[in-house]
Amino acid sequence: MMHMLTRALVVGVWAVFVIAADAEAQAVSVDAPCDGATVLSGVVTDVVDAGALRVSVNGSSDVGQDPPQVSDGRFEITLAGPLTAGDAVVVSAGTLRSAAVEVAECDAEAQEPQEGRKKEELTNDDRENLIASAYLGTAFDNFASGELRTYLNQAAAGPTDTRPIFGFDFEFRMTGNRTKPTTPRNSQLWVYGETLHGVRSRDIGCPKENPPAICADLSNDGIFPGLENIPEKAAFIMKNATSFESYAGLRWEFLGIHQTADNKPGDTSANLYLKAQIGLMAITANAEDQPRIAASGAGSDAIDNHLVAIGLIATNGSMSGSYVEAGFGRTDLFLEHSKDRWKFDGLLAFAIPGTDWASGFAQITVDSDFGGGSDSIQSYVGIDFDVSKLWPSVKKPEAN
Amino acid sequence: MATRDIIKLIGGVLKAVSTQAAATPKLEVPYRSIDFDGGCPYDDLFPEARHLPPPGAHTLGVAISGGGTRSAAAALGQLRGLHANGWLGRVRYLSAVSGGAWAATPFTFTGTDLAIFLGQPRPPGEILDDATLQATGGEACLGHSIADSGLTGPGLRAALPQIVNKVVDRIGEENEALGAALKTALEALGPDDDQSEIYSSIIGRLFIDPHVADGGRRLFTWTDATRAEARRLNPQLADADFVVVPAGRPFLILGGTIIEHRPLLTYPNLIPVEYTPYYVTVRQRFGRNLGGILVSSYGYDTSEVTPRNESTAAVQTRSAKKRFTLHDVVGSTGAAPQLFFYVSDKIPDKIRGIPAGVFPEFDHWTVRDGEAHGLPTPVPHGDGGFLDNLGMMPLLARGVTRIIAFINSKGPYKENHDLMALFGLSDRHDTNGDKRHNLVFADGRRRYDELIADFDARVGRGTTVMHCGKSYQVVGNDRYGIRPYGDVTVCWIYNHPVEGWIGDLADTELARRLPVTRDGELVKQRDAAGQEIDFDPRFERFPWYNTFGEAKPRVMDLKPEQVNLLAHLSCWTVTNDASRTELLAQIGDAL
Repeated sequence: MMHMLTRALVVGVWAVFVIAADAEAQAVSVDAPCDGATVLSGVVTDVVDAGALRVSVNGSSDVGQDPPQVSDGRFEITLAGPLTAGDAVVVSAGTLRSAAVEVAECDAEAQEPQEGRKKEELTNDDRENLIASAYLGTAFDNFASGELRTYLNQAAAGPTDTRPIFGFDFEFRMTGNRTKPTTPRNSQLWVYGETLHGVRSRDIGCPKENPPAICADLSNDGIFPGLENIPEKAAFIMKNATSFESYAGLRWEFLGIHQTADNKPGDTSANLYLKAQIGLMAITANAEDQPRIAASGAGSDAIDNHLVAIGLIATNGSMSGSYVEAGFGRTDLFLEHSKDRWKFDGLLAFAIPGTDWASGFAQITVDSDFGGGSDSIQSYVGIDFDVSKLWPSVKKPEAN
Repeated sequence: MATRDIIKLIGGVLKAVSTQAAATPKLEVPYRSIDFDGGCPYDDLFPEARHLPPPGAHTLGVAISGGGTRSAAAALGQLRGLHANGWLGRVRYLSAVSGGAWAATPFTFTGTDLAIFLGQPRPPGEILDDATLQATGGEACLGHSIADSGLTGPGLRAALPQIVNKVVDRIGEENEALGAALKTALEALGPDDDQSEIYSSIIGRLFIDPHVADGGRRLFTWTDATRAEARRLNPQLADADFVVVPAGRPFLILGGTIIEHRPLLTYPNLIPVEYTPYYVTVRQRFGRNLGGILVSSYGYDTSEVTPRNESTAAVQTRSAKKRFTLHDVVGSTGAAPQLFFYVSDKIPDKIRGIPAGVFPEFDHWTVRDGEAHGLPTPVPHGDGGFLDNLGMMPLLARGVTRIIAFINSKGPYKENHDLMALFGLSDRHDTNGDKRHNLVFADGRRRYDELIADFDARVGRGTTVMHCGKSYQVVGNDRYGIRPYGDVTVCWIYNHPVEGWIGDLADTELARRLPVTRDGELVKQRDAAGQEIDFDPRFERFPWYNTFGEAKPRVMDLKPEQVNLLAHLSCWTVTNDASRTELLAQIGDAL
């Protein structure tokens, strides 16, 4: 009997000890954080002095952290920087320690935007992997008027230096993770393409005298295109433009500017990039232009317009997609120094109030030989819009 | 047609890059994923134990502290003294840090006769004049290397190719393709066999190259047997590709520090790493990507890891020429200025990496559950003295029970935080390192006071500043992978003026003009009339030479006579009758 009592006592003491130890072990626990998180959360019992909660990472307790926020048995601690996948995280309070939790590589797309770092990271680059759009605008050629004597297709009819333009463009992010700051190791490689109808010819059939009716609607007196009748405007330009250009290239964005954990929504970030672009230009030349085209070396071939450039592109915010670049290449459009062209391009993209399917742009391009030959300075304004707007929506017949 | 030309150009670049990538050497390397917390067996943590002679009742380890060329010069004398006493053959482990490693590493790998390499002991009665002190022997002598340790002039000129290579390396780390292309161009312009980091290259050329042929190019391993194993795994390598340790040398362990520096941390996470001829290891796990790994030394600083099984992995070096060599090891263990660039608040965050990048950075990888992990970029590997400047931790981790610890510091022992930290009496963490995690001895306050009291008494008597503490209880220390054990005797020998030795110098004029200590400070001696006697300007801070700038305008150099005088004193501290007798009495059971 004595033996049994002793045994029961031992078992009881052991049970109390285990329960107490378990309670202690459960006093602090941490929710598994994801790579890049700067907020830690978890459960803390009310016996723990929440203000004493300290985070250690990979054995280091020198972790920068804000004072813990505790509510209803849960804590939240904002850290001075992002956690990295594989980090071992422990939260302790006095002698109590949570079990070590390993930071996971979570699927960024599957995660709900979190407070802190994850959200901020997304603000660094809000561009989707595939961007496809169409644009409608006006090109201004008046700054290059003095050089037009060597500008191909000069005999094309049209007394004005402004022309409506239209085109499609797309960009696809082939590599790179936009949720992480851009570095040479986390660089982004984009493939992109663009078509451009109308800009190099001086006429798309909207002369000042007796223009077709669509012209009035097309360019709002040749300056700023409106958002109305887009399919009709696009179709008119495509039908009548006497020049067509297409560009394709690779853009390697290798270094983020202002992409830090300190960024707040609204802070503009940018990527530095290098790009290589191949361009071809086709012009419906008048008969008197044929010798000039032949003299340019292009013959009846499509005219080459290639480029390598370095630039900076905004990656977030209301002006996402704006860029400035400088490069070197060839433009066979010019008779002199066609293979030694310095090219500068700046584009400002901006939101248009009241619409979520279109944005505005203003652009200037310079194509110069920095010598005595022809130069081109052109500017454009227009709208960039959801390509689906080219097709009028089909309304369901109203029920009788 | 321009389009065709461009396509041709792109094709050519891609071909060049792919060819270069294919040429990057691959190695098969033994490794072991270890879990110190998980009760990993001793032989897995310390595989050299299988190959070393069975230990007796006690094992003897020698620890040589850091301290730049001062410590290298002192270590020269200490190794010379141990050799003269006939004890070197009994030393199982030689642990060294920083400047101590600059002496211990060539000592371990040199094929030169040790009597020549280390030089001969010269008791104070034989130090007659300057001529005695200014001879450093030939280039085969370690003293010559230390006295010739020029960071200026020849050192920098020699490093210029490495500076260019470093820039290209950095580009390559960021973008492999671009880096590979630039590497190809560099190699075409002028090949340079030494692809070490800039600092490693400088240190390696000074302390390794004179004593180890092609030490900046060849891989290194421990013995003929480990080399044979490496060659079995990598038939493309030849014997000549490896430096091995001549028979009879202690097993060398060099302390380094991995610097985990991130915006998350207010102070870098300093992680101890051990370099040995056989392997490189971080015993404790620091998350998934750092530590808990032991890699054959020739396979460290590699990436693209593919574990073949639990003991072998295929890895890739960063370039055809970037191998992990003795240059890298002595560069890392002695990279004292490195931490400053990460910690100092005087340096803007955005440019920290530029000066810090001059110092060693290695690829570090781990294997967990059969999968390789690592950080995406090379990790700074700095001075071992940032954590354990006395080199004690590797010995305690291996359960060594008899230790001679040479503390080649400058300044008074009462202010030595490296020493205090071992007893849990320092929480210093600054640009010099982090001492907060270094408690290893139980009953710290009492044992430390006992040590200091003995030092005080020795200074008062004018004898070697030495204290042999017996029956130390070692407490467990996770950061260093140390398990608790007891019955440890440590004989601490402090780099300190010894008035008895000074008084015995045959060069009496020099003896009068050397500093002595009062209240822990170096002071001038006084003549019979009580007047201060001017220092000999060369020895104004003897034996506490500055780590940098002692012989201005040179950066690290010591003058030959400075090296020799310190080496003679340090040698004497273990060879003089009283010290030798005491050491035999205290640790003789391991000799």
